[in-house]
Amino acid sequence: MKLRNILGGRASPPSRRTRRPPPQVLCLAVLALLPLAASAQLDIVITRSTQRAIPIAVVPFEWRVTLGLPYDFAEIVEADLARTGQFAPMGRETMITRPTSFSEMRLTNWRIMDVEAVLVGHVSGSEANPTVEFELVDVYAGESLLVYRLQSSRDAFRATAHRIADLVYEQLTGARGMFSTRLAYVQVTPGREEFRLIVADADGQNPIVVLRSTDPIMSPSWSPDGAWLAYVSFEAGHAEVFVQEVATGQRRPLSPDRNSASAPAWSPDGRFLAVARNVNANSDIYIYPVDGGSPQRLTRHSATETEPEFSPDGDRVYFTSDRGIGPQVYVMPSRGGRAQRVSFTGSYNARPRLQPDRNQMAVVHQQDGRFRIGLMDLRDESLRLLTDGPLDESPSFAPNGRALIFGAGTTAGRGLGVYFIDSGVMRLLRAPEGILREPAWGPHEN
Amino acid sequence: MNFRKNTKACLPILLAVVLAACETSGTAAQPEPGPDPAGPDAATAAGGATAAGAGSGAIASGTVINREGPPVAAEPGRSASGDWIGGPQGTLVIYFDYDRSSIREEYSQVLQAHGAWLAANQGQAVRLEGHADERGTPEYNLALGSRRANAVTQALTALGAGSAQLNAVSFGEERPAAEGADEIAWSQNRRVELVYETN
Repeated sequence: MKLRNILGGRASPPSRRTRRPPPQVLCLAVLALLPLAASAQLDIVITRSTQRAIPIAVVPFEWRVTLGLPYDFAEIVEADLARTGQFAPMGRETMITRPTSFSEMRLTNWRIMDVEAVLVGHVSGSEANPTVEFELVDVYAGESLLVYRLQSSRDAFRATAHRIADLVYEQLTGARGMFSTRLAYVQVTPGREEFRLIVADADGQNPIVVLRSTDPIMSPSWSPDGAWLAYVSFEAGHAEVFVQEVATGQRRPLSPDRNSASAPAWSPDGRFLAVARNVNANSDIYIYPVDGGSPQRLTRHSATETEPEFSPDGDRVYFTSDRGIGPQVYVMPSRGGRAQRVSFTGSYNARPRLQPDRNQMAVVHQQDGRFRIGLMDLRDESLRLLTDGPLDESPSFAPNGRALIFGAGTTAGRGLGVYFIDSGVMRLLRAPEGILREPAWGPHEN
Repeated sequence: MNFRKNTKACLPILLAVVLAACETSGTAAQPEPGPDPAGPDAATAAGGATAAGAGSGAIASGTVINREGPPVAAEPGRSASGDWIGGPQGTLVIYFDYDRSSIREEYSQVLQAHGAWLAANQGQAVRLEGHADERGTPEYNLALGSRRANAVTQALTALGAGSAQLNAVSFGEERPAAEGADEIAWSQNRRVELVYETN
């Protein structure tokens, strides 16, 4: 099997360039209203792609299982890839043939359709535990890029499809896929009668309520292994940090005292939580051992220090402080020391989140009363604004760093904004009722 | 009582101290007319949280802790003779300017009345619930609500209340008094609510 990245700088034949259709135009429209459970999220496109999308054909996988209803793996794979704005899947109705393997393909049929990559596959074995075999084909090189056989099971069809999308995404873009990850966020029902902490798949599907409360829930944060969530609950009458095992629902307060605690952030090794703790109305950053024990105070300043975030190596803690004029991002060693200011563009930069494996940081940037998500380069301190606001907040990176989710307060509506950095596509996830806010994108889980 | 006398004598100084904390940056902050102080959502909310696992769907042992809702504010906060009154019958909401935790001058008499009432009713406790409007990050707004609640705490302490009577708490932007993404709603949400504990 030969593996190659077809985006990796390979020169394209000029004939293809001239015959390529214009970039796919995604207008402000409801793209997907899939038949789903009542609380499923609606997914609409706010901003269309600014980059050329890779033309790909995801051919429906042949169902060779003798029993059971066919499951459409290809449909999920195609939807995952299309959502990023980096791929322009070919419509099924325009597919002349539906090959199930590379050997069955006549490449010229696909070349005339201007398709660059084709995913083919078939499903065999028992309905309870089928085997999914698939192959990704580079149409112009005329070779197979990826051949895989995955074991699935009846209750994991969707997860298998996301896994296939991850592999295709990684092969064609060079970045690890983010489709097999999960989101956590807060749903506030109409009239603020109930606050729900929800865990859902990365595409917003399969939302599961892991905590319900009549009191506010804030600031969910995933442990590095994806097994735990830390969050803030007001059930004791003031802000308190809890940790909860996602699979079992077992939970305990991290900070059971009268001082309010908020904005929990995990250390990369999962052993500590940086927390904003409010003592005598002065908020400072404290480091709590997750397994119990007394917190260590990190910042000592009369200004407000909050919204901590560990550096990927765990050696530093970034945080928001208004010790200067307006809130700005600062950094200091996680074992204590001097704090240094990091953000300098404009008078308001808050809620730092570091882009995994890159020298970039997402912030909430305010100018002229508009709150927008910005991407700051930590090397030259330049700031690029990604969203329009006016009330965007709570950015959180996908674990591959190629997308971020945030609390979107757009003129088109409120919900969870998903911004794909490579394509410039912004989507909005909304609930049929209430408001979705404070999202946290979970880690890779496979 | 001599405690009271002292308080009265010190009042101008104390108020000056409290108001000096106002960071009036050049322009005299013209307060927006405060909305009617009748408490929003005065219904008692039975608190509690129920946890469940995402894997098993099992409901875990959820803690249920009751939280008292704010009592209903009665009248606009003045006596028949027009004096500001303290205690549960007084003005129960203090409004703030955007991103500020300094108390506006218009509230000096309101807080004097509450301070005096608390000094005279030392068995009574009041919860000071700080809130922020939705602009800015939720975590920052939690700290802002705390600073507002603390500003009122300090003022009331200076005006005669005992620190054991005062319990400051912040809800950030999580419990707005008014829904809406405009200044009318925001001005009602930047507030500290005085919630007299019923005992």
